[in-house]
Amino acid sequence: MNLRGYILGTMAVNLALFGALLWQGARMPGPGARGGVSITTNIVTEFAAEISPRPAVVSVPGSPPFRWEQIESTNHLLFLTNLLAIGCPTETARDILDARLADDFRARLRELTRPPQARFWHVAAAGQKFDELFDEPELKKQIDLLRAERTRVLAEVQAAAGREAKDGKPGRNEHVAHLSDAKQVELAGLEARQSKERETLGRALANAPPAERAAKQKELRDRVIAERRALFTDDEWDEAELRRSPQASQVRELRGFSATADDLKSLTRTLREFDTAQPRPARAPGDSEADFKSRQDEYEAQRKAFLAARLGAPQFAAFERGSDPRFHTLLKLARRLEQPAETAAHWLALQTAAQEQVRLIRENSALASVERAVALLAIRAETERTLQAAVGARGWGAYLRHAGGWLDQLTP
Amino acid sequence: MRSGLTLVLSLALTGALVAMNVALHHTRQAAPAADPERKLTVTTKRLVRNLPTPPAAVAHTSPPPFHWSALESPDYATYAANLRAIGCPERTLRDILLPDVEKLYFDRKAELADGPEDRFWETADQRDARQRERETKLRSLELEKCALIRQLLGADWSFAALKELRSDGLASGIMEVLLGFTDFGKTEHIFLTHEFFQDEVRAQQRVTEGILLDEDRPKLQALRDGFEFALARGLAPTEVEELRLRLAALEDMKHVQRRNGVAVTGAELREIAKLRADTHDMLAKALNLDDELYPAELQAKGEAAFNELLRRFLGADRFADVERAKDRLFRELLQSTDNQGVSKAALLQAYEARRAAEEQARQIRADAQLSSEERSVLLAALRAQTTQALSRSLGPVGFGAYLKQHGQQFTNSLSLPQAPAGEPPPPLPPLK
Repeated sequence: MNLRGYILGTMAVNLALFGALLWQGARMPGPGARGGVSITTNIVTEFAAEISPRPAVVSVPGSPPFRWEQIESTNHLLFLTNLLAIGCPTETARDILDARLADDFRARLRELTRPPQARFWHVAAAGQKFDELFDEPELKKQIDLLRAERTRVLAEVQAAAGREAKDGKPGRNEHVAHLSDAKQVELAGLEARQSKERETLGRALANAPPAERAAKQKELRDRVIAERRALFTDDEWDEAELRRSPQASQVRELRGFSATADDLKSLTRTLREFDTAQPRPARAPGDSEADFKSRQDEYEAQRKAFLAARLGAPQFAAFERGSDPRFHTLLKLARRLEQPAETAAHWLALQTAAQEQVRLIRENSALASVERAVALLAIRAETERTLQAAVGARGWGAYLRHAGGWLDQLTP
Repeated sequence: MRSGLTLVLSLALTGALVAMNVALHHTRQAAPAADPERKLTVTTKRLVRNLPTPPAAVAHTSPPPFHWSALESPDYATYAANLRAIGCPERTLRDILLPDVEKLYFDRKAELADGPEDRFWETADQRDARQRERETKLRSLELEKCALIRQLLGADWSFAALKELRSDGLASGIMEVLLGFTDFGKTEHIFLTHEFFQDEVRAQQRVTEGILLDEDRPKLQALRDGFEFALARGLAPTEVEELRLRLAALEDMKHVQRRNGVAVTGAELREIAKLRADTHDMLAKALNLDDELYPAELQAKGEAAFNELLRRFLGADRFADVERAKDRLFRELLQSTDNQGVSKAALLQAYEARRAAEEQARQIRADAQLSSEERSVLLAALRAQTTQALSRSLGPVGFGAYLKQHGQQFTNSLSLPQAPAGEPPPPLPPLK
């Protein structure tokens, strides 16, 4: 009897455990309802890889529950209407429709242009323009029809969903960033108005006699300058002029050059002072090559002497180096090799010294051509050895690729 | 005895059921932690767009109508799951999520733009350093965006690339021709794959400031190989092959055309493109990585191998045609006198005269012993002599057609360079 009782007891426990098992199984998170990929327009190939979606948390109202198919349509306008009707935000609806319209158009265009594609290699061998692949009148007509249809449907969709708003944020004008915010806004407004005025005047004077056109344009130009100038104080105007000067552009591009903002301003003024007093020589009609070169050399020598006197020798050397595009490349290489800027300056000094030696040898008319060739080869070998040691094995390949072109010029 | 056995079996069953219950309980507890999707969504809160107001609930027996707000969630993964749950097609899901994610990251990137401070008088080094720091942050945001898109959509989709492809612009026009051998979906796959890897290459170049160290090569090689692997995932091998051949034909072999005096058929051109693609890495070229991955000597070897294969394929005469077609001087003569009844022999004669004149002009210009006036006189004589030679070879009609199209270049190339304003080069001698 006892045994029978135990058996019944364990069977009851087993039944309870089995029930618990079923209950737990039912509450396990399933793989989630996967959205069926059923594009009714049936145009494209799906490429989305298999992914494990997060279980949906939406409780779909309706009986039976709402399905996407209920709003799908190959009619774009109807599809848009359906989307908006279930409360889809306009921006989202526009995203969907824009994409669908474009893809629909491209897919249909591809179907149209597929047959002539068989002639691709023939057209390429003939050297014809590839446009000619699609030059067949009937095909062109169908393509034009397709384009027209796209334009029409796009217009309909935009009428219903609106156009995408463009971000009209104006860019910053760093040349007037020294002005107060209020003045910058005022200046931007003024420039926008003046731009419109220029356009209007251009249209109005399209058929006017040249003299009248020139006079009116000058009048507007003078007024534009006067209005603009009136917004600035004298100090602000001087600063804006300094910022717009070519010397400011040059100073702002100096690399490996330590300076405060005041130093840079002062340097800009110094350069401007020299350039105003001594304009760069221009080539005059009838100038011989030699005359022109001699005037240029003289100008450069004066400029260097002036700047060296104003800046002092070390600062002038930094200025010269900082303006040199070769140094800019070497600085980048040094940065990649985690080397300081001084290392790049050292590499540049080695290059400059070698190039100077080469120049002297090339200009030495006392040397026979064989002697010159031997001397150049010797310089190249020595320069490469020294540079390779300075740059190091890790960066040598990069040096040759990015900054070593000049070494080839050392070859006789 | 039988009762004992039954009890033992029943107890064994009890043990098994207890074990199964415990195991199932643990699985349920562990399930949420094992879901890798939950990690990223914490950092990418969606900005739910302005929704139209749902209709007010009305007390009636029928269930409320469906409203989009039931799908919306500030968590992208939930939003995507909800859309899938109502059967939204994957492609439409992509077109909903991509612009949404793009706008979110556009705003986050905009926050990294320069503030209103006046930084005009910064040194270039300060400006560069700030720019590099910003680039690093932008790259980090870009990677985060890519990871989110991959998590949501299971692939590396790029909204910008799709927009480019969907536009009516140049890129889509080129794609239409270059990739016309595939279907619509595969064109998309090729274009997006290319854009993705090209972006990766550009990002790498920004990080290295364009300075390539030897140690960078493996990374770039991995990108090139990744590009090939990704292409192969969506294309048949024959399609990858056709892509390589078309790239070769459009990139490197524009001179091998009948228009340039090389008599080839379409089938032959395809064979030549195959020779080219077998001796050059067209996929590296498509990513602008050929110079980075292949040193100049290796590229020269590839070029030499191609030329040898081409010579064998075309034979000596047609190979000579190809070599000539590389020269702009020959192409100008050929194309301008097309349909003027100029024989090939006459054309070759004119070309030799033209080429010789070009070489002589170069020597005259480089001769440091000559004064400017002497150079001018010698070049004028050379011009007159070449004019006569071309006129004789091409005939008056052919030469006239040539001058009409290329007269100015002809005169300039046989004159002193940089003639000062107001002093035009001496006029051509009259035709005899």
